[in-house]
Amino acid sequence: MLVTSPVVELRAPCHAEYVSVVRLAVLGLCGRAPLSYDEVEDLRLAVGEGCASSVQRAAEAGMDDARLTLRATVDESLIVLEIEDDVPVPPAPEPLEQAVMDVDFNDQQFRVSLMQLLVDEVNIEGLPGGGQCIRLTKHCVASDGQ
Amino acid sequence: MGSSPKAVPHEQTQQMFRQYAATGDPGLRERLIAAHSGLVTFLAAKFANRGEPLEDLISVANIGLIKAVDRFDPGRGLRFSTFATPTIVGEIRRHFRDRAWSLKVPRRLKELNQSASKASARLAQKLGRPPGVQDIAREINASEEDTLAALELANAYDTVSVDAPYDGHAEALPAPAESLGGEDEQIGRLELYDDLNRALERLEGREREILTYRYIHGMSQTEVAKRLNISQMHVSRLQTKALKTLRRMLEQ
Repeated sequence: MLVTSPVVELRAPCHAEYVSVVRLAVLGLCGRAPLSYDEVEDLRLAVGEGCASSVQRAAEAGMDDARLTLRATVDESLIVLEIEDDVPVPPAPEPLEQAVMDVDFNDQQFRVSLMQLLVDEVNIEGLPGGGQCIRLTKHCVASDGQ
Repeated sequence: MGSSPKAVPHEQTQQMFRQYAATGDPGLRERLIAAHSGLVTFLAAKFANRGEPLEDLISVANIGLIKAVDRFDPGRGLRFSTFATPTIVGEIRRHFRDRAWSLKVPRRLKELNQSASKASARLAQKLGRPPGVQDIAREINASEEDTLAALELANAYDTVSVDAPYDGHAEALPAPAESLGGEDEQIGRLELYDDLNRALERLEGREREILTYRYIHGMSQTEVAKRLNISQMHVSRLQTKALKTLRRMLEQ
């Protein structure tokens, strides 16, 4: 992580109604980077998916007091957005073969693959105290639009 | 959240794909496409708030789906949705890249527009006031005229239908198209009136009288007959003759 760029954090209840607030914050933060409108929108979409994952797990765990954190580091060449929650991650999701449906839109894997299409890098890790952190990385290519 | 659109049992889908790969049956292809319309709508909806109509996004997403159905190899053990999602999303994003501009504009100007708007923001910071066209032109190394064109181009990014009513007003204002002038048909008719007048003048006196009573005063044939003191039959005959003459004169 670059030392020079300041870190911005937004903490919110891990509820569906705050996802739009987080998305709005992403607009404000990433609007400062040299990105096109569509690239910013892609980032917002990816962050929205990440939040949805947290909100869904919180709802399933019945955790009303769960917290959601967006941590953003934005500079001229690199954007790192972390979506962190304190919801315990349920053990081992069902393996592929057992899935009955071909498409399950609430499937974490489906969300992850969508995020992977939208940003350059997606890392997901469990946190020591329970909870999960999704790190989205986007490189800003100084381009004059394609 | 939590809304799972209609999904197809995984096994059945794989089976259908194996069959389609073997037979190339167009009916099967159609069923496979239809079976995954939920995926298309779901993905298209994710991109719906970017100023493009959802219907358009669904259309391009469907193109992605069709491509994915045609290219999918069931033998590779991949889920179809896993395979199709990148194709569909790719198609949607390409649509944004190509079509985000509502009006087709020259690529050079498009690029100039982007550097101009970036320069404009940068200069506003630096100068502490909104930069003028000259400032921007100098900054991006373009002529003032080109810069102006490039800045105005921003309006082409998002067009509004002239048939769309104004937004954000309590009372519905008429759509812009409705306040546009059209061709006044009455004016076109003036010429016809003139021709008709001339033709009428050339008619024989009684024939002209009959037509005047009938069509201008709106009298019935019987009333005209009474007034001219002739039979209704006679009026009818004269009227037919007069109209025929008129038509002939107007056609010339």
